[in-house]
Amino acid sequence: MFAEQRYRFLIQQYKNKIYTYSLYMLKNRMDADDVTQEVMIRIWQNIDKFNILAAKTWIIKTTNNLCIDYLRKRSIAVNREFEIDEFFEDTYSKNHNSENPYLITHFKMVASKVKEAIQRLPENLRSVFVLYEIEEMKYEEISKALDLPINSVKVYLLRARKKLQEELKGYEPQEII
Amino acid sequence: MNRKKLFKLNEEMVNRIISVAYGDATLADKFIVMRATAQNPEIRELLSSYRQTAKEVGVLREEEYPDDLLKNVIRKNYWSKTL
Repeated sequence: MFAEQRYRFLIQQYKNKIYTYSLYMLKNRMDADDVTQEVMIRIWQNIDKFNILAAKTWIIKTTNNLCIDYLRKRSIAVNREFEIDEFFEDTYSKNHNSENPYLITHFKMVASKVKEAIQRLPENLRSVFVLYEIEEMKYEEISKALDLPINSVKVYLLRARKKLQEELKGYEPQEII
Repeated sequence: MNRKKLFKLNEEMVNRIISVAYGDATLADKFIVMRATAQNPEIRELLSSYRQTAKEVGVLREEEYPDDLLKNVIRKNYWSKTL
């Protein structure tokens, strides 16, 4: 029973982090579902060995490793890059309280563009960027999860921000208000 | 370092601008960038552009894992271990 409680706690705490990271890395909802489920299974299999305080790093590391495996497998499969956009847009609209349909459309368009641009970042920059900017992890946590020196994390983050800026250059969202 | 060089738009300044825009700059970097924006319109424009992107990134949230999938996983995992 205790194991189940620990498991439920960990899942509630990290399910969205695992899922979000997988979505950005794999750019595909079905694969992200699969990776998330696989990570949850591994958490359950290791639940008795877990140091709950170090769980976050272990979980993100496992998620990252599984995403890399998927990306490798997929390099010989079909590219399903565009499936994700619709899903992302839907979840974004839930995060905004505005009831103005024009504003919602505007926010969705901007979010969609930014997410597409994040997805176009090289894999190593994207992983650091998503963990820092969206999952709000600290440099040290990212360093442990991705097995990178802290300085590399900082450099990758800076490069990712620059690259994202370049990607979004020329995209001027229309003013609606 | 003289003042002119300090407020010049070089690689170092771009890095500072990015940190300021994303809100994780040191106090010293913030000060340098703010002083530079007052003197150099190019820096002001770059900061504003990076701030806009940082703002757009800042509103992105974690995606929600669907509840129905979660229930299935928990049920499957729990029973596989207890049986």
